[in-house]
Amino acid sequence: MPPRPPQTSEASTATSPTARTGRAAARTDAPDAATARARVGRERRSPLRLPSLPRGRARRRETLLRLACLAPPLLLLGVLVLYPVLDVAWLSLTHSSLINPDPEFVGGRNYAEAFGDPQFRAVLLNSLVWTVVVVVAQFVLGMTAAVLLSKRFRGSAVLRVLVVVPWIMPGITAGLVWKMLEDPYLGPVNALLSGLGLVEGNPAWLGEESTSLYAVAVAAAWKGFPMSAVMYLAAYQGVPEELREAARMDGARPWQVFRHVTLPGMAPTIRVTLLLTTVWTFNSFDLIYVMTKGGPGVSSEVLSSFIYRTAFVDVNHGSAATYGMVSVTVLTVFSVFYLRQMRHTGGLR
Amino acid sequence: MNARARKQWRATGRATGLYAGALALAAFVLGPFVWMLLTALKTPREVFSRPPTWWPREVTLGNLRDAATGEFGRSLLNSALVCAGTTVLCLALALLACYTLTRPGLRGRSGMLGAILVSQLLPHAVLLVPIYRMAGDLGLLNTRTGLMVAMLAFNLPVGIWLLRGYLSAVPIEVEEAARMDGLSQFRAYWTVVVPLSVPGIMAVAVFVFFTAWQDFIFAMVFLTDPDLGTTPLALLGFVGKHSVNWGLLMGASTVMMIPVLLLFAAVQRHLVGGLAAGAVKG
Repeated sequence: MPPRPPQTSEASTATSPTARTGRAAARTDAPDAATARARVGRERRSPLRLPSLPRGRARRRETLLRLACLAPPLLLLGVLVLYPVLDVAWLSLTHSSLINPDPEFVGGRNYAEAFGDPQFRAVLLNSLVWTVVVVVAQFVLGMTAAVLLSKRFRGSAVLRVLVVVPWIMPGITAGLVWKMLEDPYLGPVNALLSGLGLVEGNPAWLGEESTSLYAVAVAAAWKGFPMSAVMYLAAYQGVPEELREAARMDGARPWQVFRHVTLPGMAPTIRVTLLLTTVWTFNSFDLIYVMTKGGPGVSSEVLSSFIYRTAFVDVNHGSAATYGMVSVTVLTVFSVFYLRQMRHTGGLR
Repeated sequence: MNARARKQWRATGRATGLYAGALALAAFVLGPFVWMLLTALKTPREVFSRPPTWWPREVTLGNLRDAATGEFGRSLLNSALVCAGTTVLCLALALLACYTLTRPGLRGRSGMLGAILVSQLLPHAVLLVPIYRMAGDLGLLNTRTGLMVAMLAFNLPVGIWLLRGYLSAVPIEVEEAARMDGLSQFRAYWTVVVPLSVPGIMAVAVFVFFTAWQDFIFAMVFLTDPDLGTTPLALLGFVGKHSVNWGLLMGASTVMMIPVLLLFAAVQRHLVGGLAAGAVKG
């Protein structure tokens, strides 16, 4: 990725009059080349480099043009994202079924039922375990891989490319492959483990209530860690080598260099990556659907897969919407953190 | 042992550790992928042999041939149509949006960016119920168009966000130069900035295509007509209730992955860095 143009404080000052004169220069439809060039000279000196709106009628026209460009995608997102969220909020207060598809208002009944339902509470707990296990595994694997890949050795360039293979394997394929890998009789996982003397017999990792969620989590960690590895590798390389060198000169040991120089430099990336992998893991259920369909029982069911099952297998849109609202609430918290972080790093300008 | 020998010994130890780690990483990353390929080449008898073998004793191309033809072949075509459609729609809309979103000055732009950013955090499962009901009311269930548009719910925010990253990497001087030549800002965007960003645009296109290619959550709900079924649906169809033809399934999985591998290989350099930068820096 080529370097971005430096983004100075244009967002906050873009509408101030001084900024407008300074920046509108190259943007007005001035036919006079000499004036334009003079203005560009001014533009060069100004700290603001991104184009702003021209003035007067041209400005109004440009504003209209920009709104017109934004309208179609924004309208579509309104229909496909905003309306669904509002609709889910409404549906969560209704009841409908396959026979009676028209939603009937029932107030907070769905919510009371949901939180009184031991199955739903089990699903919530599963969601927590699933998210924590997968995110931690992806962090550890991703960081280890990134540190390893930051070193130069024969084949390191090839490995840096190959590490994304799990990530570009479609979720459905990855689910099927891992389902076979973990098959009690036909898969190599049990063959490997019993070869090492770690297991007896042929445990069905995906078929036991006590292990099914973790058995899927292994596949999810495998599928997702390359993304973390790539992010961490970029962040690792973004910490200037001179800093590490200076710490070494001062007698710091490799671990200390990592702990006190590299890690703090990577902190913003780590925060965002953890936040995003948490959200992605919390939302995703393609692997679960392919590998266990949430079973046996609800032992590997998470919130997202439970919403899907309730809505399209049990055809209970009201309850599904209620679970959906719980999910939206959780994600709102993460969104606030994410937005704050992005604003902090200037990503929203 | 003198100091020099000790230092050398330590260096050797370090190198050994490095290669051992690299080997372990390679095995972990590629193991499942290689297993898929090798299983696809095994005969049914060998797939069901115990203990499982890694290397096929007898290589057969039957699984791959069966996977590439017939019902599954048609599903590949269906998927290609739907995914290409959704990619084109997504990119056209995202390019339009980015004209406004890559330049400051419009009030509320920052808020809009935040909304787009947050909207990609919503789970597909939540959006699915209302979108399904809406599509039912509009008679768009069981149509490719319906699925194409529905998949924009999760592709468009990501597409806009990624594309914005690539487009704002074009130096503003380039656009200014075009303006000096008398082009309007809008024309300059389409005839100078956009063509300059083609590698990035292609990377976003591949990403969107890939996201659509692996979706089966929306497809399962939208497409009940087997004639329209996309590849993931066909794959799920291979999974029987009691027994699974693993050889065929792995063959079909391999075939499904080929277009993805080719597309990613084409844009690899532009995609990985852009994704990392896009998620962190915006």
